[in-house]
Amino acid sequence: MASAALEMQPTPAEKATPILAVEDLHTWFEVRRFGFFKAGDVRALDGVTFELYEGEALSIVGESGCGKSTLAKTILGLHRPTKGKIYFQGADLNELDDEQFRQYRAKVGYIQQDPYGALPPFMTVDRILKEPMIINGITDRKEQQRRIRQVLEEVKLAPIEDFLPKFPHMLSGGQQQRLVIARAMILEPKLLVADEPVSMLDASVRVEILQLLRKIQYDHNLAIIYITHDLSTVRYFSERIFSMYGAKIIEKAATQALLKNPLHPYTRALFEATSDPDVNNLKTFKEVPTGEPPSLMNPPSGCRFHPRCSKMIKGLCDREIPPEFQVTEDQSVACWLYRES
Amino acid sequence: MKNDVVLDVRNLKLHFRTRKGPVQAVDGVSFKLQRGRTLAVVGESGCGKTSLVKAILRLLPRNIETFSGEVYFNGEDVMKFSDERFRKEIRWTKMALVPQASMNSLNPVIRIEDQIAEPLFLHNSKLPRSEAMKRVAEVFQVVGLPLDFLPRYPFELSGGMRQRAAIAMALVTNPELVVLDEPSSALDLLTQANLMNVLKRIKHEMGTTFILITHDIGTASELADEIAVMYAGEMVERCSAEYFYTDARHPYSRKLMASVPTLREDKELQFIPGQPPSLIDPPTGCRFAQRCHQRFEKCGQHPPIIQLEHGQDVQCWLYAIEKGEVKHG
Repeated sequence: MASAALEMQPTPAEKATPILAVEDLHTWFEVRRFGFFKAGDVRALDGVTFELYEGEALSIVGESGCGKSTLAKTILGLHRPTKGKIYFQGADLNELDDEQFRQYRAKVGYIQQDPYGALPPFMTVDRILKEPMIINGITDRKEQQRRIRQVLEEVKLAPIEDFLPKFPHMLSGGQQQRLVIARAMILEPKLLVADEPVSMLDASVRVEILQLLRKIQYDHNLAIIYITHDLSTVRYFSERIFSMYGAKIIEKAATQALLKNPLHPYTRALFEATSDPDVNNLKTFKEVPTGEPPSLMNPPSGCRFHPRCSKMIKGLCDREIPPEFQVTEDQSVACWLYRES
Repeated sequence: MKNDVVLDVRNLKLHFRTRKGPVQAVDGVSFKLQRGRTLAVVGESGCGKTSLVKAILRLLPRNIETFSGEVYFNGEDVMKFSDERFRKEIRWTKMALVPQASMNSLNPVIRIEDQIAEPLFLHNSKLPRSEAMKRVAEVFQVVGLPLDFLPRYPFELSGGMRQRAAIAMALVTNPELVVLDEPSSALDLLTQANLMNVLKRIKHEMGTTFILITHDIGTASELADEIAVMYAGEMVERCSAEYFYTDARHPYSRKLMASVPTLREDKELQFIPGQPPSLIDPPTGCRFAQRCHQRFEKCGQHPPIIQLEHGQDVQCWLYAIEKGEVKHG
């Protein structure tokens, strides 16, 4: 698996054209008191910059409330960014007109967390898969049939004829999630955004769905943003990992590098807190930071992790916002501990 | 040694009545649990984990078709108790439950301290308030909550804190057995790790016996001395954690272990094709046979529970053949 992941690293030549580039992205939500007076902003996304290349799988890990889903939804165009830019295949999303924006949305597939909640209960599988095509003007019956057949084969919902007239409640959790993947694939997107695609599924099905998603990615040379809170599934999925905390990306690294040596104290804590099935866990206590993630309406000054960090440097971490330090070629971190590198 | 057994469950059955026929949620489960040990019950959703603890604690819905078997608690068959006697003498005084999603089941308009004290008053209405509050403060410290949160309301607490409050509520009567139903699955990773530390400390310091229900085999290893694997209403394997994590025996347990992604080691992941059988009309033979890659003709009959070395109990024909104990099931 390790070697396979390395082979998939984009070569420098490919690096020239990122499929998605995000520049200093901010998404803030206004909070009103009594529905009228402005009480402040929830800074759900506060200065995020990265690039994603064709055929690359990127994982974003972090706990709930760190802004990872907001990032996904902003990229999908479900939230308007407050500040900052998103470029898709070189085009600035802010400058697209409505028609162009609709075309953009057809090129980006979305895989939701809760498959049952994401599927309309009153539509059959056939209708669910036709819906995106009707919206995007693919009205030719033969073309519709061909695409439905192709995606259902790809997600291995077979025999196809048995599934078409079924309603979502007649499918198992794993089958529902396959249908969600099929729906995301039906418009032949270039980029997939998967928001916790397996967290609602049982362990035995989880691996199956992840492997399926990985295969689809290879076959179509797709870019995927895989959002998760579970570090242990990331190893099997992506080339790069970003770790998010308090609406910012705090560490960017190649998967193998991060799993070998997580640099940021928060990423380390996440690593430490993940339990592998190992009988020795019984005898040891975990070293985890106490406290809660910061309020995003009124975030702490300096590094947002400093109130919980055991390695906090007084007078620096609580005052200055740490910039991104490039520690090795494939690992960078926003933490003052690495200021010498 | 025999007095050390807190809970001894024998052939417990719980079938629910539905329009399509009885659902065999728990079907002939037997196990013993020694004092101060923790048993983790693992399995996929719908395998009967929660029904098992509901049957042990007799928290039953109305649509019961069959409820039978023996549950010995400290050597006494509590299945013979009347409902009223069970409620007064056993439930919550000696066996407590932290139900699934309990952090969201706190009453929003009652202060935390009053909610935690409630089990004390329910079982002893003459208890002076000052004494109850003293006990509440004690358990509050045990679960690691700051004392100034006592008079607050649930909405003022974070998810992890509310979960701890729910655990404090179960511990307040000083029960001998605490059942935790998915205590950490709704929590964030760091909060979950903190909670596991708290439970581990309670286990070491107070010697409480726990039954931990979880679908997460990784988290189970934090607390479990013994593991029981459930599949389609049956307990297919039960053994000490030491042997389970290194050498699980039942084909289903092995497959389940192989499907768990690990962070620290690189392994080839596998999944289990197919789906668990319907509990309304389960196969007469081994319930896992359809999905099992080691199945053979014998699997058409119901497998016996085989005792292996190191006290491993496995419900599988493979080991019956190995031990030369093949007889008609």
